[in-house]
Amino acid sequence: MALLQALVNGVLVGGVYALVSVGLTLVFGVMEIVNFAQGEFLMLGMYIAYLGFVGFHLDPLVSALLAFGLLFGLGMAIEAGLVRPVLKGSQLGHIFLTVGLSVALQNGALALFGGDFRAVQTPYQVSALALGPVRLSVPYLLAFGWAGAVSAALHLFLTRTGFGRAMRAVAANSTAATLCGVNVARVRMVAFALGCGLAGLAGAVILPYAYVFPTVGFQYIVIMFTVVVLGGLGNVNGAIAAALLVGVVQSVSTLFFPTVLENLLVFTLFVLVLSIRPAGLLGRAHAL
Amino acid sequence: MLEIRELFAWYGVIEALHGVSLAVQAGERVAIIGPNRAGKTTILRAISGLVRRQGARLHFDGRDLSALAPHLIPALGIAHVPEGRQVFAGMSVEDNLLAGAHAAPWGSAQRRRRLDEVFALFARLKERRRQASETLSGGEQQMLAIGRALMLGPRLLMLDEPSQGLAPRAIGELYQGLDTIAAQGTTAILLVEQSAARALEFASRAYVIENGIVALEGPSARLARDEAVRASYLGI
Ligand SMILES: Nc1ncnc2c1ncn2[C@@H]1O[C@H](COP(=O)(O)OP(=O)(O)OP(=O)(O)O)[C@@H](O)[C@H]1O
Ligand SMILES: [Mg+2]
Repeated sequence: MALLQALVNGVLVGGVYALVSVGLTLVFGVMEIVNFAQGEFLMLGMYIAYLGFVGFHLDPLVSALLAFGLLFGLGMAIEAGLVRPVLKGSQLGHIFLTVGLSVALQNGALALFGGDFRAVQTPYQVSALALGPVRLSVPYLLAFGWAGAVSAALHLFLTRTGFGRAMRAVAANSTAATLCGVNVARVRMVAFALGCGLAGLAGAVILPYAYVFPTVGFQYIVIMFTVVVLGGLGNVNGAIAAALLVGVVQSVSTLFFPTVLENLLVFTLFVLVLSIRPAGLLGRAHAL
Repeated sequence: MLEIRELFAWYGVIEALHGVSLAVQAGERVAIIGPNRAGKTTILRAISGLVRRQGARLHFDGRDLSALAPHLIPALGIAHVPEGRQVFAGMSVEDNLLAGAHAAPWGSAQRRRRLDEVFALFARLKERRRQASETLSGGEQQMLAIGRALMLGPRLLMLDEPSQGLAPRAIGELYQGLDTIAAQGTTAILLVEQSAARALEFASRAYVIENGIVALEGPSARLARDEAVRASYLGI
């Protein structure tokens, strides 16, 4: 029974990990750059939802859309104004840029909000649904619902729309995409912005059960990298599968180990999977 | 239709084309042959805007190509099947073809029609429309790369070594397809090939490129009789 509960919790948490990580893998797939500031975009999303809650009584699950929009716009500006010029110099320049951005955003948040841990009090904060013997925490369930909706929307966007197809084409082969008339620079800008927007959305969605503070992104970036590498760098479906796996392994491991060691099994799994399949669970994607 | 005069191209500081002039008329079949590293691929890349280039004239239907961003060139009616096929791995055959129509201003009905035309030309692609493109055989991938290039209904189809690495039977099938395209008369073909014999047989005119310049040009039949061409490229 405890095992079933742990499995269910794991899936719920894993869904949220997928939401948190999918932007990072998308950006890597399309642009072959690692956005080290991804955790900070998540942090910004959390603060946006926090302000929405404190200032306008907006539920974080609603401000999620606002966080997505604002960070999408910020992402466009950062791509056009910083990432693109830096990549003209050297592909490695993006590491310095995004690490620097991460530090700058953390300190900006520290200056604006101080170092306090902040949280919101939603009516459903501590409620849970009973499904037979299993309890489903409502905030986790809602976050999971958002994650599922976003995954589905992203999937439809990538497979059913012309722009999404162009994005996959750029991920697979940007020169050939240019020869098909795809404006590669614009696709890259939108991909980067989507990555930022999705991180912001994820931040808002987890706010009902998580504290926000300036360095909160760091907590998530480790999971993000684990999931993205495990799923096969740049592979969206792989990242989702890996996120669910990581969530379940973490959750089940707490049955046997103290919570502080919940990542022990995750990293063991990480090393095992990569030693058997160096390209990750589903392999390095050629087209997201 | 395509007019190129005194075309230069550079990779970094290295000049790869040193003043190439060539032309393709509407509906014509033209071949470019020459040794390894002569600059054949670079000519096509220069037309498509994939390398830094400058020419006294680089025009297509009176429009200056050097003034356009590379991604705007396909919509003018210039399709480029790159060396090594470069299909979109991880995407299905059909998605590859639809990606080829990305720049199409028209509605989806016409897109469907183009798709049907490509499937009529290469029936093998239709059978495998849902298959991931990287799992196709080399010959099928080449068909896919050509089909993708046809999705915008080009008036100039440029092919870079389409027979490279293919079995003789696949090459035969491929050229049958190219013959069908050319016979329709609406699409001119600019063909780069290592195997000069096949290229000269297919094209009505040809250019011999050596060290980044045009060494010889003329009707294919005349080049095929030329002593120097026969010795260097036809192995006779
Ligand atoms: N990406 C590149 N960077 C630097 N130099 C290049 C690059 N591509 C080609 N070159 C150089 O430009 C010249 C022309 O090359 P190009 O590929 O156009 O020749 P080619 O005739 O197509 O040869 P092949 O028959 O081998 O395909 C060569 O000297 C080559 O080394
Ligand atoms: Mg070549």
